[in-house]
Amino acid sequence: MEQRSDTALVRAAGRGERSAYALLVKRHYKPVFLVCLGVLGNTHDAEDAAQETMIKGYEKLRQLRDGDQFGRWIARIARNVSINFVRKQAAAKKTLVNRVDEPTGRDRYNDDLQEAVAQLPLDLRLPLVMYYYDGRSVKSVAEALEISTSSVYLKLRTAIKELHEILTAAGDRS
Amino acid sequence: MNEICREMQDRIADYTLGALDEQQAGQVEAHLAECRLCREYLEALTAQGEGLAALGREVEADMEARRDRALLALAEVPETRSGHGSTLFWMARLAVAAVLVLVVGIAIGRLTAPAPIDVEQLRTDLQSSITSALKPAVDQETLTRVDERLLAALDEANTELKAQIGAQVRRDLQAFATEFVAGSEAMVDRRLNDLVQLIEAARLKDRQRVARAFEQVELNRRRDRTQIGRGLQSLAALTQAEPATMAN
Repeated sequence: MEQRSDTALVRAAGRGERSAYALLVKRHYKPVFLVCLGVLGNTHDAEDAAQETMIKGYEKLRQLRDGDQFGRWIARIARNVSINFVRKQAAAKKTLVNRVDEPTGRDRYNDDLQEAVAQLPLDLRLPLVMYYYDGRSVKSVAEALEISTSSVYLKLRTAIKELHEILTAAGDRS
Repeated sequence: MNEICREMQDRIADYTLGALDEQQAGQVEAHLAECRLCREYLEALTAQGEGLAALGREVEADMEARRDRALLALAEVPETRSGHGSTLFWMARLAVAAVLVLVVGIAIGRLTAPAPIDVEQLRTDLQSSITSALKPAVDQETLTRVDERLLAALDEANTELKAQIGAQVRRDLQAFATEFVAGSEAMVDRRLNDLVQLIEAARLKDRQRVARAFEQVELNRRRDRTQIGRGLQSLAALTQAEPATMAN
């Protein structure tokens, strides 16, 4: 495993060393993807957004002064890219989730849950995804989103209550 | 779920998040022990949390493949979009290098040439070539062509410049050699003259010394003659007086 720090890799990538940037991508892809997923609510769009984020990061790398901040910097780009995705989708009136098959049983529950997550407002979905999908602590989510831990708790509490309501309402309809 | 239990919802949600202290958690657990609806609510939230964690694991399972696809996509990004080592960047560096070569060439020419090298035309040609090369640099294909043109122009300019500088250096070396030889001849002449003068001076000194020796010899001879004369006179005088004595 590459032992060079983010700062060293950013510096090398800034000199045009693609392999250094590839290592940064390997190191930070997961949190970037989860931010995209948190904003967009589905893995398909999240993958596209994460990919675009990494390319944008490569193009704008010279603007990053402190290589140690690469993680936060690329996460911010991921958030902006994903929000732009949402805007484009809203303009194109696309649905957030594209279901191919009609699932049953536990798959059905997972899909309902996924759809319910996608229906949450962005400010609730992002901390929820980071907390449950990525298994982060509340403190880590708070640091990543640059908000207080009590705000994270509040958002998580609201998110799980709303999820329950969405799922209950969906169950009542079917 | 009655109205009182609705008030408990926040507490139960916080309970699942582990956000309550020991005392608060104890109160919730005491309520749960008595309220079936709240227990069901807790179970629903717990199942929901487990479902979310399962979704997270599903997402995690495909993470590596997604990451590899991102790396592949990144590998296809042309250098020009990265801003690192873009063609324009290198062209700009080449242009600067070309200008530097020209400036150095002109400086060398002006400093060393009796007749200055005609680099003005060369510089004009190269500048127009660089300008025309930089302007249409919009897409990769054009950039490639521009690269080739610029490199060809630079190559041509370099060759011409090298030839001119070489010729100038040869001329300078010849001039230097001629000057050196001429200088050497004059120096040898001066040295020979000095030597001749030294020899002449030595000869003169010798002649003077010989002359002085001759004069001394002459003086000695004269002195000897005088002394001999005086001796003979004394002898004659003695010779004349002796018979008279003998006659007595």
